[in-house]
Amino acid sequence: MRGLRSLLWKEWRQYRMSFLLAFIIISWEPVLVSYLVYRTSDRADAWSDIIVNILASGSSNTEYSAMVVAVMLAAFMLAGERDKSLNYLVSTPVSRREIVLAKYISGSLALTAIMLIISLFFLILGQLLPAQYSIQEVIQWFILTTAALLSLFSLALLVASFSRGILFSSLLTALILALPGMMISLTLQVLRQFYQVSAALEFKAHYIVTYLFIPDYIIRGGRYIQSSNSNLVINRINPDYPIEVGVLLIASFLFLGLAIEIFEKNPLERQGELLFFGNFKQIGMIFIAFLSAMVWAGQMAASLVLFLVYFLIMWLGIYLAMVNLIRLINLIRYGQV
Amino acid sequence: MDLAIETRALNKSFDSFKAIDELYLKVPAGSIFGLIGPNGAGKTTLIQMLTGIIRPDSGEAFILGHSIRERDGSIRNRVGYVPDVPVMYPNFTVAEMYRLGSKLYPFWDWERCRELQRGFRLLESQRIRNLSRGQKVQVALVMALALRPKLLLLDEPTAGLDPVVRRAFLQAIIEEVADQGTTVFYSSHNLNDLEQSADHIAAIFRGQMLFSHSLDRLKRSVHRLQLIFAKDTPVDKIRELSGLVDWQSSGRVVTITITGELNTINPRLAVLEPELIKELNLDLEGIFIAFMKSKGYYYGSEKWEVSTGQ
Repeated sequence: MRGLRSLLWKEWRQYRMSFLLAFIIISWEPVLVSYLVYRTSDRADAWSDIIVNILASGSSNTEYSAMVVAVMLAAFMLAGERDKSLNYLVSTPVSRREIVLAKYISGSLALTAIMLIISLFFLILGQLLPAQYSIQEVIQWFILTTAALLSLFSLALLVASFSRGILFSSLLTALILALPGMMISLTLQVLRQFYQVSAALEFKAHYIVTYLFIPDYIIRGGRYIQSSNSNLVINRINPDYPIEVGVLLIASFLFLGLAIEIFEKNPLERQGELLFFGNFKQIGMIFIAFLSAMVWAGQMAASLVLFLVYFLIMWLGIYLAMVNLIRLINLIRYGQV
Repeated sequence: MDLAIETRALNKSFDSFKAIDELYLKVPAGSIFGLIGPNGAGKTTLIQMLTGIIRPDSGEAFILGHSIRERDGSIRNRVGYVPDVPVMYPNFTVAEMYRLGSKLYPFWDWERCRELQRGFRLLESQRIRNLSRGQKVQVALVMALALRPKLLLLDEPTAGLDPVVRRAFLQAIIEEVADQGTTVFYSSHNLNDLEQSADHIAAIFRGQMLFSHSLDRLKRSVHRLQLIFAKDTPVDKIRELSGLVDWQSSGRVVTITITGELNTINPRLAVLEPELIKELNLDLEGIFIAFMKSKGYYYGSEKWEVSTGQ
């Protein structure tokens, strides 16, 4: 506990200006725009239009800013510290578990505090001035949005535990976020080539994606899909709060656990990023080969059986090609494989 | 014998480059142990493995009786570390770094911290980013000593320091060893400093241990001798001498660096029938250069020949 307490002080001292900047980035829209409208509009409750949009649509600048901040904050706090002060920290009497835990706790508390301050701002103003939203709406928005942000932050922390650099870590997080949707779309695309895929199956797939894509818990637009030629509808405009908040918090803790495990194994040197199953570079190459093979085999094959054959051959072939290309580059640069 | 550091068959590679190769090392507790080696030999890699920054590929290493593979950070409660380029928190002040140290280390001694702070004349209100490299090393050393270490790991900390600061640095370390019985494991290219302060020396080359002895034993067991021959120099016989590390010939004068006790070397040399055998002074730097040359790491008259494995 001593180590964790020390680290929490360190994280606060090191990142307090970053937390303040995060607060400004997330809160400028509801605070500044509301104020400007209040000063200039004739309608008494016009100032709350922007807040109603935030609470109802989930796709305002506030939410988008908050999601980007959550991801980049985690990248900044962990991946951004590599090759710098992280080496010092690892040599002190704290465990790697405590390092990740301290970053998770401090980042999560910061995000929660930011959302709480904004929510309190909504509530207090809503009591002082005529408003178009209710207390319940604000509380529900706070709970769901904060849970989604914590989940995003944890995922970004997980990615930062094995990646290097703020930008790369953030982009990789975005890629991983989109991955479930990409894989399902790709699978459906391949299946459509060989079979008649029913609208029901497609809808089920989209429905699953809305649960796997964390921003969809905040952005309402992605939660409503109606088929053009059937009466099938995905409607999660009104979230099922207990289930969705529960799923998000469980995901947050799961990502945290994985981040701790990976960071404990990670040797921190430049070529040493490790995941569970091996080197990050190796896994990256296997995955890129997988995706490429899936796309190409899908385009070339006339049947599902042929697709599987082409896919396996291409997957192996592309992977081996990448491995040998890296060996060739090493040979040219360093004179050895 | 109590050991502060022990490694057994330690290995570490970076991609295809073998940085540490089956390394066996024993550092007695309470000693000042100097680690020398050419650039890229593996000194920093070894120290970073001991501090937990880098994980070994295989083998074992122990510091103060604890395996470096233990996940619990408390094994480093009494381990101070000063890297060659200290990286701390740029926006922290010196005082805040000390405060962080006091929170992290359970045996932190504020009195010792202030005493060293006064000695180095550091300004507590200065931000780390505004300090020179030498000042950062001083801050790192203050922190490493204020935690009351049983083991100090120093990775070329005096490189680039002015002579006054370097002397103060060494003095502080020697005082720590004398007062607290701290073990100091110290890598440096400044062999003069090591010769004056260390009682054990190990040399590492291409990740492997070249030798590891007490300084006294090292100096007793390596000699530089000048042989003067009346007639032709018996080059072939000289090359075949057992224990020969290095030799140079200039006409009828041959200078050899050879290992062994003098009372066993002299009879071997007598067989060569030199007119005169004279022992020359051999410092640690001379020993190091001779051993490196025997391994192919030397500056030739025509070209710079380096065999570092990269």
